[in-house]
Amino acid sequence: MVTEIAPITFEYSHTIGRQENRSGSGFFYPIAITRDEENQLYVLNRGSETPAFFPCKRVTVFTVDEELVREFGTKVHPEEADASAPDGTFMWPTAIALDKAGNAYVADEWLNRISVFDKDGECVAKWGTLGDGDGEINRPSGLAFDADDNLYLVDSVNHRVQVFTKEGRFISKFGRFGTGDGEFDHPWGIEIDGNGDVYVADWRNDRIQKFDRDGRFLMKFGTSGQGDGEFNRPTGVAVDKDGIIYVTDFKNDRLQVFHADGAFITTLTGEATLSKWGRERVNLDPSMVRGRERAQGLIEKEKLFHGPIAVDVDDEGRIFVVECSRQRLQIFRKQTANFSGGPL
Amino acid sequence: MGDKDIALMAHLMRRAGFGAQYEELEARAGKGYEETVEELLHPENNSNRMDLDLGERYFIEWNHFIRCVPEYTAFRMINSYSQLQEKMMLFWHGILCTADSKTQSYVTSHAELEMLRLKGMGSFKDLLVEISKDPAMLYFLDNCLSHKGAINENYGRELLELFSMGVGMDGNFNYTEDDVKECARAFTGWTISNGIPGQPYGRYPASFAYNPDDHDDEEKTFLGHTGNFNGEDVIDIICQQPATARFISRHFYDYFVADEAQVPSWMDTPPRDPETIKMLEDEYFRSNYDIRSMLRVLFNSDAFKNARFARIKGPIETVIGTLRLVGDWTTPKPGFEAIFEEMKHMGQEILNPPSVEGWHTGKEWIDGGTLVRRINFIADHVGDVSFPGIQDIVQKLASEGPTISPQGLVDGCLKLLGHYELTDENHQSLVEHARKSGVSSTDAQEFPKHVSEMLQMIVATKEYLYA
Repeated sequence: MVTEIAPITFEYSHTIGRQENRSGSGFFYPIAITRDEENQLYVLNRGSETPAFFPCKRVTVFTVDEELVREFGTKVHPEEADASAPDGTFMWPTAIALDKAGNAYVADEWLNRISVFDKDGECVAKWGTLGDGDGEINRPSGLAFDADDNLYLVDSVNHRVQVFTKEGRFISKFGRFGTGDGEFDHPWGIEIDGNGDVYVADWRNDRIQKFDRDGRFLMKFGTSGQGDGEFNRPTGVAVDKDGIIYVTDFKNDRLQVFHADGAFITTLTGEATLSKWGRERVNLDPSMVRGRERAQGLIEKEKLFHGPIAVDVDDEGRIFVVECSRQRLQIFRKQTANFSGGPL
Repeated sequence: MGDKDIALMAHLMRRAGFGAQYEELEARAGKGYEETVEELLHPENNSNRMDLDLGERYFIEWNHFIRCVPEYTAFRMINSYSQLQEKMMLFWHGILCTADSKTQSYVTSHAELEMLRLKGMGSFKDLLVEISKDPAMLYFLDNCLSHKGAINENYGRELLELFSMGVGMDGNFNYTEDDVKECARAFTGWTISNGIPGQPYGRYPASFAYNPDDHDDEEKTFLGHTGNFNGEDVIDIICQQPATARFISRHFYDYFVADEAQVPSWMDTPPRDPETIKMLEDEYFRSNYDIRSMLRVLFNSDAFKNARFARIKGPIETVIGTLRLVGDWTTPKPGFEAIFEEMKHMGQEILNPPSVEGWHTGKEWIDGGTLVRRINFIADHVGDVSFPGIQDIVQKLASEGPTISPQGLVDGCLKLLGHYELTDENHQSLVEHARKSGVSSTDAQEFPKHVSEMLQMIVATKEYLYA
């Protein structure tokens, strides 16, 4: 008999971010994340409902070492938030994904359109029509490219996933409203693993569903609750190269980790520390420095996830967790001690 | 179920809520008046029928309430089926006042409003204890700066003057300056923990802390009682006072029944309706300071039922009531900021009462600027036939028959707005106007516009200022 033990632990690495309402190093209600081939991180900021902060920047590009690279996109005023909204503007952006050429696709669930930006941040295309027919969308809330550069789009109010070419031509769809296998209730995040299988955060059904590339149901896990393996409105899902599944359990303020078969592994509740950008901001104001020194319970409170909303993983075993309410992401590193043994 | 039942229900929902569409009035009236009162009094037994998870999905800032708290507060007032819970939150928010302009922490203010929702219909004594521990209040009225041997009287004074007893009653002072000082001494040590600065990750809710080393545990004499009082002891004594019963009863009367004199004059100005005030005072003591019991007695009284259109709607009531009537903001969408601007320009900004005294009410809501703002806002909304609530009114009127008389149009609109009543002169003017327009066919293309114009004229009357 051979025993295999593969304990998985997670080591906190560091925190990136700070509250930055308009532009610059930091975030303002970050909602989605992706990475490019150079491992630069793209964080999509939802921004505020308060026009005083408009036009706050929307996509922040930066390195894992917290160096700002660039930013692009702006928020449009509510009075202009309709089909005539200028190219490159957003109202309620929800998701971001990169194609093989490095173009960024950003979904907006109010304007019901996908905006395409080149590597320089110029808006080069847009598409999307409100509706429930094939190729029409209603509040897109998750984006992921497959290996063939086809775009899987979570069409949340239509409770389905639609697949498009990157030019926006409809290819296929799967899912409908309901609680059964392959049915959704306001799905949100989406991930495609190395095999081309598709994972969807079935938000209001409090579960994760897995499909093959053609939309055939494969498995599901999770139910409503606060216990291990239970969810309260899961938003984001990511899968690493070993098949380990990470889920942002939004309203439970935690990240849950599962084996490839959906078996629960562990929960992370946050280990945030002062980020580089955060330290720079605090050091500008001596009263802020003193305030942090005398604050009671700072370490215990500040480390916790508040609104973990999106997650991504890279091939180096790093996990990036985006917290919308704390304007930051926390980075962890997976540690696996593989042990295989048998009879002597 | 006749028009009288629905008219009474419309009255109840204007006062115990922010108004309701006619269909809701019919449904609630169908349950019965007293049954509806009980339902309103017990939000814990009923779903508020709001999809707040969807709200939070679209208004991401609702997550942990670090921002967007006024939006959330307004959204609940518009959409909660538990209307009285929201109305009581607003009631206490206007009496047990804190202002975000000083506290600068939405997340802490939100915690306070949640407490008011939870405790606002329970024991008044418990509510006073909770507000005395409330971090926003401890900061707003400087109790965190009040120390053993060096008291800050601010909270002790306002607790007596504005939160519970009032300066005086029936021409006599209710307490002395010494009572204020002794009250402040009792609350020394009630403070907040050192908070986390807003940078770099945003604010965290402040939390109550009791520091026994900073509490003055020496003997105190307060309102004729002597002992080593702490804050709870002082509140217990306050709740025993006839002045407290009077103070709370007059506030209830002003908010739910009819415009009263303003609070600063209550020492010398007798209640408008002493009999009803006495009834509420008696229930206050009989129920051991239970707010829910007082409200039950009030809503089921003839004094309440007969007090139609006896108080001027406040700005928040006006804006929220209009949005409920037309069916706007039933789901989140961009642009909520403009709604706050309306309330603010009409004179009432959520989370920012003008002082610890709260908002003055009644005719003080109205001046040339606020009146124009108010009428324009309502008229713009009821004049927009794209709103579902206005479409419902048009359809209901059309369903009455192929034609409608000028008087039928006026009376139908008044009824569907919630059984409003006009003076004979205004009523006749509107009938004349309807006659001149010449539209009588309910399937005419211009009928919806004809209805919406009549609604606009009604909401511009003096009578519509009242609830």
